[in-house]
Amino acid sequence: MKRFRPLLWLLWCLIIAAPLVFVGLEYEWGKGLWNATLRTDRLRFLVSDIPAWVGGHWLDVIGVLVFLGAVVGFLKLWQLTAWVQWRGEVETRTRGRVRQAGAMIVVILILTLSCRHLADTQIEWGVMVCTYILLALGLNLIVGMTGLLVLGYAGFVAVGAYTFAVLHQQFGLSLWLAFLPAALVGGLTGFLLGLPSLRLRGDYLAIVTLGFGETVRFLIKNLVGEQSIIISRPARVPSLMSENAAWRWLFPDGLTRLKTELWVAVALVVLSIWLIRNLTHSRIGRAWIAIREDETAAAAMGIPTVRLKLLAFTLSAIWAAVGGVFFVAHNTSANPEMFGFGESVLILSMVVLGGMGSGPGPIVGAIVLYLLPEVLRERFPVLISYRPMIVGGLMVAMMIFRPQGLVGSLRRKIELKEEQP
Amino acid sequence: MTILEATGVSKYFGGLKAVENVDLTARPGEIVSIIGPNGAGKTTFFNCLTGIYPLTHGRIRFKDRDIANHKPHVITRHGIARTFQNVRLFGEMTALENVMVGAYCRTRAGILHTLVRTPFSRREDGGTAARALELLQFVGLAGHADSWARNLPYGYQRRLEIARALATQPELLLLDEPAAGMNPQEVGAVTELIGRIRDRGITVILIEHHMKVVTGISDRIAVLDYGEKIAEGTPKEVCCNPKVIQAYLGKTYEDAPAT
Amino acid sequence: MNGAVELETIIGGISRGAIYALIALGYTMVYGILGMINFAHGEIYMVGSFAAIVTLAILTTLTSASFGLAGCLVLSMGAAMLVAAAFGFTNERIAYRPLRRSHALAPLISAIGVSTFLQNFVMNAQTKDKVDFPRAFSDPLWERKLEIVGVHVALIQLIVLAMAVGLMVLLHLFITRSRTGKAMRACSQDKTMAALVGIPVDRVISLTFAVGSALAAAAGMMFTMYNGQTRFDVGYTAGVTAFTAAVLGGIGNIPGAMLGGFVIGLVEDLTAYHLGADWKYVAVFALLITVLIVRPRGLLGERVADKV
Ligand SMILES: Nc1ncnc2c1ncn2[C@@H]1O[C@H](COP(=O)(O)OP(=O)(O)O)[C@@H](O)[C@H]1O
Ligand SMILES: [Mg+2]
Repeated sequence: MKRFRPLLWLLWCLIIAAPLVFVGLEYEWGKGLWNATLRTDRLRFLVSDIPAWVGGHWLDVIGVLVFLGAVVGFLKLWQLTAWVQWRGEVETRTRGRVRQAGAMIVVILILTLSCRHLADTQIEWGVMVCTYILLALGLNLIVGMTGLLVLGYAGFVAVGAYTFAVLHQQFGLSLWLAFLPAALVGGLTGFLLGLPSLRLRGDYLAIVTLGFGETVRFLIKNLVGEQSIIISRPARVPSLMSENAAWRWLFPDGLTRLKTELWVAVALVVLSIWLIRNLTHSRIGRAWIAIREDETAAAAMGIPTVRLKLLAFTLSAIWAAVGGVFFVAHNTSANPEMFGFGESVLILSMVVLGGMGSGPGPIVGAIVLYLLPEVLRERFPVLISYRPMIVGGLMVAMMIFRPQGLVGSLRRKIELKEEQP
Repeated sequence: MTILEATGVSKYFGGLKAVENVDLTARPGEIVSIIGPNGAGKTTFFNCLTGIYPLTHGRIRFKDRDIANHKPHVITRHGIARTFQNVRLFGEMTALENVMVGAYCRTRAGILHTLVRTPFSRREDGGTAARALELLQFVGLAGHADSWARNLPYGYQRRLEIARALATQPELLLLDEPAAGMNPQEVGAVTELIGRIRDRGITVILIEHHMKVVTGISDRIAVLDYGEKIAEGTPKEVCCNPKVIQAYLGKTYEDAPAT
Repeated sequence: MNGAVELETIIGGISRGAIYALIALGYTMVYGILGMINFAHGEIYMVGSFAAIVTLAILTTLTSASFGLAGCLVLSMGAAMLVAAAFGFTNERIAYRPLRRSHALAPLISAIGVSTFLQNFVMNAQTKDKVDFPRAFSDPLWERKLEIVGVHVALIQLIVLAMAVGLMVLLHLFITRSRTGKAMRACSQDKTMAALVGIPVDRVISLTFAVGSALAAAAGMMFTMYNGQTRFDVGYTAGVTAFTAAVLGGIGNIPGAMLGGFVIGLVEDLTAYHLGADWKYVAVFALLITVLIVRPRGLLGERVADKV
């Protein structure tokens, strides 16, 4: 057997290389005789496209790396000042909170000042990235904190989105009034799905939620219809304040729909970060983490595990529903195909990439996986269509090399330093 | 006056009678030890008391309340806390947070309070942290509040588990081999700790193999073998009991070679 | 008349069920040995179906189909099984083995990553559209119909059924009789003990993945032949359905997976026949939830209590 080892490996290499034949093979079944021709243009993306991008745009590549480094670095600093660490209780935590609030204010100031100059596409990116941050934060509650893998998150997003879309279509409900009913319906769906399924073991739960996502899509198709629902919104939002000089300077061409959306999105994200931070540092957040770490021990320490998992599930569904409302409002149409398994995986990968269970992780994940391909779309158009492939590869790589995510590791580092005398 | 009264507790796994018809009572402020060879069913008995396994038969009364087959968290709320034979801490939390988790069932801030962090929840959380620190001090881990549970040395982990159990404010504490795998010095420290726990007015039921610990502090000892209770009494009575010697040495006393 | 149609539906259901059973075996074998759900298994099935078609294309182009119809089909099935086995092996090596000692969600997430990657790799490299199975190979098998007590059964249905059952019997013999099979069963009972008595656990796990994947590829080819076409995303639906079959029979239990496969095939075809094809998926999902909640250990599975 030993002697054949190299031969076996060779065979294995050949077989693994065989699918590359997929790439180059164009076949058309004719009348009893088939012509298969090797088409080299399909091979291109592997052999020449990628090197060509990098070669032609090496400055961009460096820019992207710097951007990534900056995002991670910023969040690390933020985390360093505030995230966790109970020692010296009061003073570190207040100091951390002050810095965190400071960081928030800086972000908002930059936004305000640049709002004037932002082009529509940039605002568009901003809105979408905020939506994804919202969704990723919500998913992180259940996947990262409580340790339950949910694969049908897009189903909850769809529930919120369609609650809004249908109410809008039937009663002309506006976006502002839609958040409440959508959150209610979303939360109720989460609660009802969680009620039977949260007693299941982790991997079974994952499958059940996956099925749930598909079922929601199916139900929408059959009950609401396969066509898109158009959501009409005024292009210009009448301002509530009197338009003084400062206002006119800030919004030279009035409060456009996009700009309002951006502000609402930012507000929602800031609010979510605050709420989730409060949760993380509360008895409930600790109980969730305890459940993630060891469910039996948590139960023996007096934690009603099923009730808390249900709570996490419901909250996460509420976040999804709110995100969903925003998603379709911004998109101005709702279609069942927008909420497929691919979307669930994309949001999950944001959480995984940023760091499951870490506060700022999902934010980084959303920025990297949404904003980056979007911004680079014009230069590397292929990036969008290869995103799912990259996402898949990244998920595996993250699990192997950095399971704590891009920003999730600081706690441990500090700890290690302390341990070593 | 008894705080715990277990009668006829049995737990079968398929054909295996892991615990068979065991009676045990504990009076307030007492330290009761359970000893027996490995696989005798001691841990299983604890799991039955704390609701982790459903009983096959039997009744368990705690403070005159029937708690058999209740959910684990309900039983903990009634006032029974435990540690595990194979330490089960929440590894990715600090020591302090581990203890604070134990306080969950004694705090009340609901989801709305915690979401917006009302003064009530802030005050409650502060109180929890302070009590947790005090408990860490009590078990001798004051300097390790911010260490990750999983990075603590084994002996400290065992003590942290005790602190976490104490945070649930129990009236009855079940300790599953708290001195297992420790050196004589650490064993002494654990013995002393158990004594101090009793002095706080907490009843203790202890599973232990170290006879020094058991005979040193127990008021009564129960002996399990093959799931059945074969003896019970004061340390002296139990140590001379021929059945116990047979269970441990595998021979009857009379058969032993006279040397 | 109606009774005959019903019977034909049932026969159709059984032969599709045989295919699901083959896929379900892969889930169950991996679960038995590693205790994880291999989400990427459905994708291996999809890769198998593509590999079969590509092999057929190559065979007919390079050799003008000189092996004859049966020869070409058998060769392409063999090639598909080989490719899929290599994929399954690689999958485990790259995505699961490094994660064996990490936290519980890691292998699941990694598996989802692999699944997404493979699906989109095939989509990008091949096509977004459906790919036809060569009609010249499948039509003759559909056209030849046998009449058994007034019910028309297509030859292909019998062939699929016979091949699936044949493979299952082979697997059963392999697992119960051969040395390696015994090692597999030992590993699924207790990996540590198996390692202590000298069983090369890693190699057994690799082998399990390879065998499971080969079976999935066989299923992939037969299903494509049966349905006439395949697409990059067929693995997803088939995977969930077959997983349901595995759970229904009792995950980790090999006869259970076979039984579950047949039941699911029947449920699908009967639902499609009575309620419409759209409802198939919902019926399967409803069945999955019901089984998980009412009897999570499945029809043939044993109950295990976690030791504390
Ligand atoms: N969940 C379980 N399933 C099957 N058997 C079990 C389970 N838990 C314990 N046992 C068996 O019950 C017996 C008693 O075990 P245990 O209570 O752990 O013994 P001890 O703690 O006295 O050493 C052992 O034979 C053990 O294998
Ligand atoms: Mg024990």
